[in-house]
Amino acid sequence: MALLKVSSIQKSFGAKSLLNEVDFELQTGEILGVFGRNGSGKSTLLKILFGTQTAEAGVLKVNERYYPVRKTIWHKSRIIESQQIGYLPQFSFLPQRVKVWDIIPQYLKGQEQDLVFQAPRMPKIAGSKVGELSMGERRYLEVLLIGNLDHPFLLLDEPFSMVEPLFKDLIHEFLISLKTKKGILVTDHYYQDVWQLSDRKMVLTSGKLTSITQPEELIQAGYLRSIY
Amino acid sequence: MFKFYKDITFYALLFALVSIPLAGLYGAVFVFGIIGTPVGLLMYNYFHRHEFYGYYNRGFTRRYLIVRTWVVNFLVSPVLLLVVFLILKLIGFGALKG
Repeated sequence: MALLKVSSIQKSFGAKSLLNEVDFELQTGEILGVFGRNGSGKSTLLKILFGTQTAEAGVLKVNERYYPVRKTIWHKSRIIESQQIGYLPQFSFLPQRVKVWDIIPQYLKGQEQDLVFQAPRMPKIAGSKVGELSMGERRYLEVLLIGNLDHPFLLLDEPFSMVEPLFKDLIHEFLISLKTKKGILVTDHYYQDVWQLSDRKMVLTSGKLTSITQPEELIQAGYLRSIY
Repeated sequence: MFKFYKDITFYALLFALVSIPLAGLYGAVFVFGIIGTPVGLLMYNYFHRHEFYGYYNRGFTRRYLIVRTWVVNFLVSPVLLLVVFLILKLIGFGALKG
């Protein structure tokens, strides 16, 4: 079992403090849902953890190994090199003009490719170019590619946004199947999906992450007006 | 990683080609080997910026990708220089014969 421990993440843009001493833990075998309003710093936090965004302070500990956050863009992205964390950004990152069956071997080797090629609905789209896929198909492919890499931890930024129910269900099933070997952090404004999927929930308000257990706490945190 | 190299080098070659009227054929090879990669990177950042995340997830940092590409293109440029030299010689030889 692997443990990711995040301590004292501090990030500000000019005079505005966005993340203030953010701490949390994530272990393999669990899904952590993170909620927060637009601009609350969810995506920034994920990028800091992945090493593509700088921060003033903070440290990640994966098992017994420490990875300080990048303080300037000149610092090396040690977390990327270590391949301890996979990250699904909120935008599509696949080249649009390449066919799906040419992309899969770039990510996975040998028989591991079958995990994507043989996944539900994949054989149908394998011959299409990424740019020809629907939003749901593309997101599903991206989740499959990143999820099947060897990272023990996975950060997913909006995996359900603009995805049709059929593919949402497939993503749900896939993430639950991954949970046995990975620790997964999910954030999305499709909060019902995240709520349903996650074992633990946290809300990001005023730069702080707080654990919650009841949906009503999302109202108290100013994220929702009412529960549907 | 090869796709990254291919994308950057495509823009580097394009830039070198455009520079021929100003720099000449030999100069264009130097343009390719020395400033082609940074120019290619600028273009890549503009057209394919999000694709970096695919490489990051596979453990390649931006620094690793850029340095590798630059070194390869720098090392390729003497070969290109030789090719240009031979082509010009052959053309010259052909013209003389004609």
